[in-house]
Order: sequence, then structure tokens, then C-alpha cells
Amino acid sequence: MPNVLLTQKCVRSCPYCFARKHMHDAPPDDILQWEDLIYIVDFFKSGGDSNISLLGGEPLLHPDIADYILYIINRGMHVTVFTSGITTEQRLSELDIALQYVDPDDLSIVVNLNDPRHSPERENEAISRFLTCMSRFSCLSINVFKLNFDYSFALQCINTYGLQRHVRLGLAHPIPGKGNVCIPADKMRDMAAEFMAYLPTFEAFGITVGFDCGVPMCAFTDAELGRLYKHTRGMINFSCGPAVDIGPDLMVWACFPLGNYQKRSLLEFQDVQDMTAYLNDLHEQIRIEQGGLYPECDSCEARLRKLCSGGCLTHCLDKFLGEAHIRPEFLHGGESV
Amino acid sequence: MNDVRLSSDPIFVINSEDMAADFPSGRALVVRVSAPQEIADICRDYGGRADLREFICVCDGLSLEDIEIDPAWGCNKVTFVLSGLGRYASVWNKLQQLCHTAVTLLYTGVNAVRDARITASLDVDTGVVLTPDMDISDELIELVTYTFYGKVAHGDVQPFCFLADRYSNTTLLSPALYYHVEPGLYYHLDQQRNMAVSHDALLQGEFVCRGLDAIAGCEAAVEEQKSAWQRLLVEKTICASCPAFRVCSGFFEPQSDKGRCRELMTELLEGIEFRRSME
Repeated sequence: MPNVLLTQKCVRSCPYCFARKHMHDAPPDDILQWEDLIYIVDFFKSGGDSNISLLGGEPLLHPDIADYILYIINRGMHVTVFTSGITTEQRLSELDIALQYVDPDDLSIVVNLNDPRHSPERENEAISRFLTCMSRFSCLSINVFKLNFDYSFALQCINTYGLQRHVRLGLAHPIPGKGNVCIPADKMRDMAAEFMAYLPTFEAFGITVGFDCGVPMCAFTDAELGRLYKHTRGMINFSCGPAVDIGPDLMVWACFPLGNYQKRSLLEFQDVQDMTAYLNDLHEQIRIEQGGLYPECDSCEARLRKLCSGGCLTHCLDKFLGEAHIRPEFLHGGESV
Repeated sequence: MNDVRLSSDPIFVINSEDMAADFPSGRALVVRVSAPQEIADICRDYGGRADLREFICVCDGLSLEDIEIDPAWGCNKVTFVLSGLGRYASVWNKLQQLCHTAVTLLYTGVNAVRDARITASLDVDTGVVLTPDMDISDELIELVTYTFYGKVAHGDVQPFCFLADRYSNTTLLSPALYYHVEPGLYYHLDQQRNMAVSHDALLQGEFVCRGLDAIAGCEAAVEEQKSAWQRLLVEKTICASCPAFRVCSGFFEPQSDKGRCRELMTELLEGIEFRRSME
């Protein structure tokens, strides 16, 4: 499923943001144009895809966001919007009117929520307005970026606004060389233990939790894995593969943390298979250098059996940046080739 | 705008207000209406005694947002000339209604090319109005590329698809044909039954004859119009050496010195030949 960036501007500056470098480097007036959206939809539809994600930056900043959502639905595809929910009252009103006849089966909105107790009051008010208005489409996404993470705000929010009873749990990963706030490799086990301790509370409220990419399987004990298997009805994975991010300028990269590694234009690819092969090959080139977060990943049976990818690749890239230049040059510099 | 060629009988292009009850029956007609509401009325009043080939509704300054889709149009071919699509959020359900109908949306506004591409991608027939002195943008040339090389099936984009359908190695085509400028086939007539070879010529009083029965007597004038393209070769104009002349016939002659029309029409010709090679 492609992630299409409508704009690279954002309205927040989250300490864990793995897209920060990308946002910072982007031209401020760079927004996705209609012709390019049509090309993207054609490209992925011809490859058999039936889902498109719209994100940013903050996708609600795009003046045509409502039109783009409706257009993609008109093309017979499902849309997922990843947003902070922070927008003006006017834009929210436009969105509300435009989406009034949209079937929730055709549109999902994933609201990336930070702990309101540590967020500015104006942001909280804007998010509250958004969730009140868009609850029928919305589920929450939270990013765990530190230990002693308090999950309770998610529960409160779901219950207050009647949101879908599912939480998408992301782990903050390093931006190579930038030292952003994230869960370091040697703290993954602690993070997992904290989460498992809170899981019964989620379950008590009938809320399921799903992991975003890059979580290593070995962060959990076998007993915890069994518990997670039951909780997710087997829908749990520990993968890290190309997500396919597409910028407003049609540049393609494997995922945000790899946003500066060998980007190419979508126009250079013949079809989805051609693009996927290229991005998979990029991942593979890095995995050859180091299998995963830990030295043991290279010979780990779970990785060899493809039960786990070995955690997020950016931990490896972050490490390469501090080494002597003994690897393929692009892995050290992080610049496009 | 009419891609149906059932016979070589003349087809009359007439404004709806110039139609009269005494209009001879059995004639093939293209009717220009000023408001879409007229279409259903004309179908009802004339459907049984005239061969209604097409309705053209020129809605100056209006967008699809301002048009109500009427199921009573049935399978009649209806072409709207609109300034644009309007706000997408206001027309998305109309576009769904228009899929698999005989309605074509032609655009003239500043976003005409973009709107045509959106419309075509939703499997609705569409197009742009080309004029001899228009600015030929990169986006317009890309629209031709999209028409013939798009990755997925889409609605027809006019006049490019029309020209592709009519193309052969032995015929000379022009975008004007799509706009009912085909001397000997289309006769544009007014209330007094003055006839001209195009709507513009009619408005300017450049008549070839008067009265439906006078057609036979205006052959010389029609022939002169038909062979007007020969002047471009005799005078050795830029068009004479253009590789895309066979699909243009000098339609863009007023701007031929700029070279943009050559780019556009060459892309069109290559697109047509590519389509032919795939058939």
C-alpha cells in the first residue's frame, strides 16, 4: 500500500518524529498536484493495489484533501489518512460536508495522538474538534518514544469520542545521525515488558492493539508472544519492509527513515513490480551488511524463517554512520545516488 | 463531437430556438441548446420525427457543479461545453452518474486540461476545446500522452480519440471535424435557413446557401471549403512540411511559426499509430 505525501509541511514538531529531516529539507510550497495524484492512482491500480494512504507532513494542510479522498474512493480504492487531526475550523467544516456521504468502509482516518497532558492546549482543542467530527472514520495511533510510557490517554480518548476500538502502536526509531528521541535497541525488552503489563487494561475496554513496523520479535518472551497471538487473532508481525513513500514531487523512497537513501522518481519505474523489486533490493543491501538490531540477528532462526525482520533498519544505518567507510558508500552518506 | 457516421446524408446543426414545428421530418440533427433542461423537451417533441444525433449544450461560465444530470436524456448523445469541473466535492457523485452514459464533458477554462484528465480517469468521456490560436501548454501535450499511453483504461479524451477512430493512411483529418466543421456533411443553419459550414461562419454571415432544398446547388461553395487545406501546400507554408499535417490539415496554421502545434499534433499522430499497432 503506497503512502502518498500530500505536503511535507507539518503543524507539530514531535520529539520522536522520524520524518523531521525529510520535512526540514522539503520546499515549503511543495504539495501534490492533481495530475500527479491521477498518475499515482493509475500506477498502483494497474498493479492491483486497492488501498492508498494519504499523509504528510500534515495532510489536512493540503487545500484539496477532501477532493483527493473522494477522488480515490471514486476510483474504487480504500483511503487511509494519517493525520494529527490539527486543522482550522473552516477546513474541518469543509471536510465534514464533503465526507458526509462517504461509507466508513471506504475511508479510515488514523489520528496520531500525543499525550494531551504534554501538548499545547490549542492543539488539544483542535484535535478534540476533529475527533468529535470524524469519529466514525477514526482510530488512534500512538508512538512509544520513551520508557515509562503512559498509555492511558489513548483509552480515555477512545471512550470520550467513541472511536474505533483499535490502537495502532508505533515505535519511535532513530533518524540516522540525528539523535532524535527513540527507544534504543538495548531497551526494546523493557518497552515490551511495559506494554505487556498494560495490555490487560486495553483488553478490559475491548480495545485491540496492533504494532506498526520495526518491532523485533525477541523483545517479547514466548509467553508474551502467545498472549499477543491470541490478542491479535494471529494478526501480528515483526516485519520491516519497504513501505513505499511517495513525495509530492513523485520521488519514491522505502520509508521515512530511509528517505535520503537512493530515492528515485516514480516515473522511472515501469510498474509496481519494478518499483517493489528496487526497494526490496535496497533493504536487502542493508540487511546483508547487518541482519538486524543485534549481532545475533545475523544467525537468528526467527529472522531466517522470516518470522521477524530483525527490527527497524534505521538502527543499523545509524550505526554505520559512526563507522569507518568500509561499507557501500551510500550506507555511510545517506545521500541519494 | 459526433463520431457516428451512418450515411453521407447531410446533418444539420441548429439552435434549439431556431427549430420549428414545420421542420422537415426524418432529417439528421445536431441540436445546440442553451440550457440542459431543453434536452428532455426536444426529445419528447421531436424524437419521433427527427434523427437526433447529438445535443450540444454550451454553458458559458458554468461548471459541472451548475448542471443537473437528467435521467430523461437516456442514451442520447449529449456534449456539454463547460468552463470546468467545479469543486470536486460537489461533483463527485455526478461523475459517478455519468459513467457509462453518452455524455461528454468538454472544458474551456484555465484548468481545462486538468479537469479533462480527472474526468477521463473516472471513465467519463471528456475533452478540451481546441482553437487555432490557443496557447499550447506542456499539460495539453501530456494530455495526449495520457490519452494513448495511460496505464489503465479511461474515458475517451476528445478530440484526440475521435481523430484516432477516424484515422487511416488515406484520409486527411483535422480537429475541426470533431466540432462539426466538415463541409458537405454538416450544415449549420439559422432561423432563416441560411446555411454555413461552421457555427462561426454562420454567425459571421458566411453562408453557402439558403433553404434545406438548396444544398444541391451549393456544391461548388462546399468543394471550395473542402479543399481549403491545399492552399497551405501551394503556398509552401510551415504546415506543408509538418509531419502531423494529416491529422491537422492546418487547423493550427495561425500559430504554426511557434512550433508548439507541431509538438502537440506529432504526439497525437504517434499516439494514434501506437494505438493502431496495439489493435
